[in-house]
Amino acid sequence: MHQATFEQLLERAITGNEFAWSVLYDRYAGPIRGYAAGQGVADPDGVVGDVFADLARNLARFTGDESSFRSWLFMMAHNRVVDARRKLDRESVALDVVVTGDTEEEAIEVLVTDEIASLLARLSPDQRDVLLLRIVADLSIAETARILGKKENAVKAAQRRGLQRLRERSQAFGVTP
Amino acid sequence: MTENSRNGTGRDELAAELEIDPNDEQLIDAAETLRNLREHPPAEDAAARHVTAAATLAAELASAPPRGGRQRMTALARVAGVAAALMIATGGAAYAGVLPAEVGSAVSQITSSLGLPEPKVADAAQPPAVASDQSSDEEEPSPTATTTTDTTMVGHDDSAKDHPDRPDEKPVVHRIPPEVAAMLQSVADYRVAAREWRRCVIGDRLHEPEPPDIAACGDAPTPEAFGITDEALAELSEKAQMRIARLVEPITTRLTCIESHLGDRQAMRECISASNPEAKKSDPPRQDPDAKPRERRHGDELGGRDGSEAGRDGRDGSEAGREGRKSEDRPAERESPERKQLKDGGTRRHRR
Repeated sequence: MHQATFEQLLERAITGNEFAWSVLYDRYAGPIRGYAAGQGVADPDGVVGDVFADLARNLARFTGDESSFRSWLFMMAHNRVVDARRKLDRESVALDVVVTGDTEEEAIEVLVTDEIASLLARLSPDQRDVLLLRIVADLSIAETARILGKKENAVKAAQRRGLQRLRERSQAFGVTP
Repeated sequence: MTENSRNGTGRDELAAELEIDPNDEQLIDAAETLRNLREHPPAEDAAARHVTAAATLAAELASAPPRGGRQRMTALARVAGVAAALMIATGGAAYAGVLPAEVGSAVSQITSSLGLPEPKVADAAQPPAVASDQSSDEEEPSPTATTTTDTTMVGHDDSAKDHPDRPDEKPVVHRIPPEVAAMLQSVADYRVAAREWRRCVIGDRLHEPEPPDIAACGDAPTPEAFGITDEALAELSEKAQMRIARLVEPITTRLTCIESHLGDRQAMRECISASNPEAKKSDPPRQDPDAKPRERRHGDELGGRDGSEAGRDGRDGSEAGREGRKSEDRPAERESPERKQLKDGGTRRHRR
């Protein structure tokens, strides 16, 4: 059976092909949700829905490969996160737990998200932006700089400082996440 | 970042990408912990809604005429009808903020006329929506569920008549099939009840050591109890049936599994997994049964424009995007062919 290329996938998505959308969703919803959750957005699922609605509206105008598509997608996600930040004006990071229907799994989930929240709480907003875009969204320094409207050197510096904060945290607690 | 590091197996790659000392185990552990964030996709019921919403909006927009004026307004009215239905289905305003301002405003009017809470609109200062009466236009009605020809006017705004400076604007008339709106509201109610019941019977073992009183939770809600019956569905168009079934099915499946295997979490998990094989994380990339080879898409090569409107004029609905960040002056991508090839695999993330 023919395996659709990424560009074919986008072409079908533009016409409203539900299968194509489900493939795109499978590929990107997790990282987008993770990015929003890591930023402390109260409703990360809502951000995913918003981003995919943005995508539905603007996909016909997109040209480029999968790498630039990913970068574009996270630019939309970041804009949504910024909107959410303004509305909530929150400083603390509160991660929600995915309801899986399995209590044991949810319990483990709580522990993992607590650990992540503990890590993120050590970071300044700039450092959090950079590390989440680099680690969760898998974007390059250049892509991250474009999304954040910063110079690459500034992104590298924020990354370096953010990692230093994480190191301090690991040393302070003497635990392995 | 390489695909290996994305899959959680490439600590060395992760360290290299972040310029971490590869021997700094604790720091790499911390970075890997953050990477766990991306392995938590939205719940299945949310995913089904999002995919349906995106596909529906894309289809509507793809069918919209490229010209302006009255035809554009008609197209906007159609999109507004779809968006309003989706918002009703999601019980909120998830989509209003990302639609064009005129559509967002129209959605607001539709939901208001249905007696629903006022949705959030990206920019409340936008002018009111103005769309032409679809019945007076020559366009064919949309084939989607919420814009069938069997429609009833649910929103009507004569405000344009009061604005002599806008003589070309027609009264706003939005059409949404009332039976579809009612059914979508039932789905939203069912979803809320299902979530409450699920939380009741599963309990919160982290914070409440005592097991939940399952008997007090009552029976699992059923679609029928909320009026989602075969008879009611039969009254809807075929496409509406399909979309509503897609919204309802994952909820019902999960509730059935939970109810059947209360006290046996492993069996419950296996039941949910078995009933939704597509959700298995280890599935290989799926193939579209309708896929056909085709010519290469025009403009596929990087041309310096990523297509984003988010960073320019906020037409994606985000307020952040209105601040004017430029997104089209991007330099050539730095990605290597090897990385691109790895990405093209389209992995599905493993939960753990």
